[in-house]
Amino acid sequence: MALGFRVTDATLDVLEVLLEGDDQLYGLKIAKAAGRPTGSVFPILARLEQVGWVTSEWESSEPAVRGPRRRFYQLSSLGSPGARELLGQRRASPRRRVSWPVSVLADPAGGVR
Amino acid sequence: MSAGAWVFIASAILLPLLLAEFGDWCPWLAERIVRWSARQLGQPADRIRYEEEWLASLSEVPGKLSRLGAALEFAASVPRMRWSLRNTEYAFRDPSHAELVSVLKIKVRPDILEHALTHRSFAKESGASHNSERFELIGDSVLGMVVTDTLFRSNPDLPLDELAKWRAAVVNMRALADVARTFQLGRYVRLSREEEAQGGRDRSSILADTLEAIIGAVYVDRGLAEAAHLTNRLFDPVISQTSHSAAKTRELSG
Repeated sequence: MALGFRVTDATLDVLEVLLEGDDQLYGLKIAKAAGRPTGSVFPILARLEQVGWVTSEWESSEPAVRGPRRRFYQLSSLGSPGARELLGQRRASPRRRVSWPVSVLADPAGGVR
Repeated sequence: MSAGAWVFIASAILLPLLLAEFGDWCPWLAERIVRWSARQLGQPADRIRYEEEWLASLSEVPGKLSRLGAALEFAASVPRMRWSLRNTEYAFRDPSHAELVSVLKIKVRPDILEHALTHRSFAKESGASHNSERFELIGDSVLGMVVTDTLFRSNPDLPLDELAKWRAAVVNMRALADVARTFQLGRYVRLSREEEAQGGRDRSSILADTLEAIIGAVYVDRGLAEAAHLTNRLFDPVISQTSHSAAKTRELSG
């Protein structure tokens, strides 16, 4: 399925995060998980939203918490299969960005042999 | 005083003071930069949205200096944001859906349009979780409201019973199906094989329901103004025809 714009590696990273992430993904969290700067992630999210792959909605603000709200992003029913197809084509094996399993970092005995 | 003393004063007193001042000033500056950046985006709705979204993001960045850095990052991303937000064609899974939106001159999210075009027979056959019925319900309300509004405003002297009759003449299954046939809506409906074999693509009830669902989809995705715009484009000919023939009947009987 043609997206109508060039799909960069950063876009693939963002799609990967959206595919694997929970339902409370906001811009900064996606940027961190993708290992990309927010200045690059927000334009990508905006583009994906424009073509209908991604939808977004404000977090439900509790009355106690005043101030700017986060906006949660998720893949649409069009975006999920599209992203899977695209990642399958461009990334033969799913590349993991987090290089160390958490258990290794948390447990020195497991980490150093 | 010697030069050494000046250097001492500068480095020991003034510099820390300046740094502390700058540190306090950073969050304020960062916020200003983010607000300014968001205001550079095209549409008013985008400006308001990204201002809040970016400020929320900024407030989660720890440290005063890195907050300033994050703000500058938003400022630097403005050209790319503007490019991203430019009006683009949606990526439709089914090319015929792209055709339909250009025929109707509407903009509606592909997944929502797909739901609206999915007859319950298709959903049942394919195991899809959504069909058009929810959009039909809301589209029915929008259509009724917009047509009533048009009749109400353009015929200020029309008695109540006439107004109700005219509305019923515009908003009914047969009239809706006729409107749907003018742009061959039947071609775009997602039907089960069985329904298709039985001539579902030209069945008035299916055409009328799907037309309502499309109006509902535009309303849900784009808001009332856009939905009303579409409804008026489609139904104004029917409305003027109805009022025309109704006026003639009244002349004859009166």
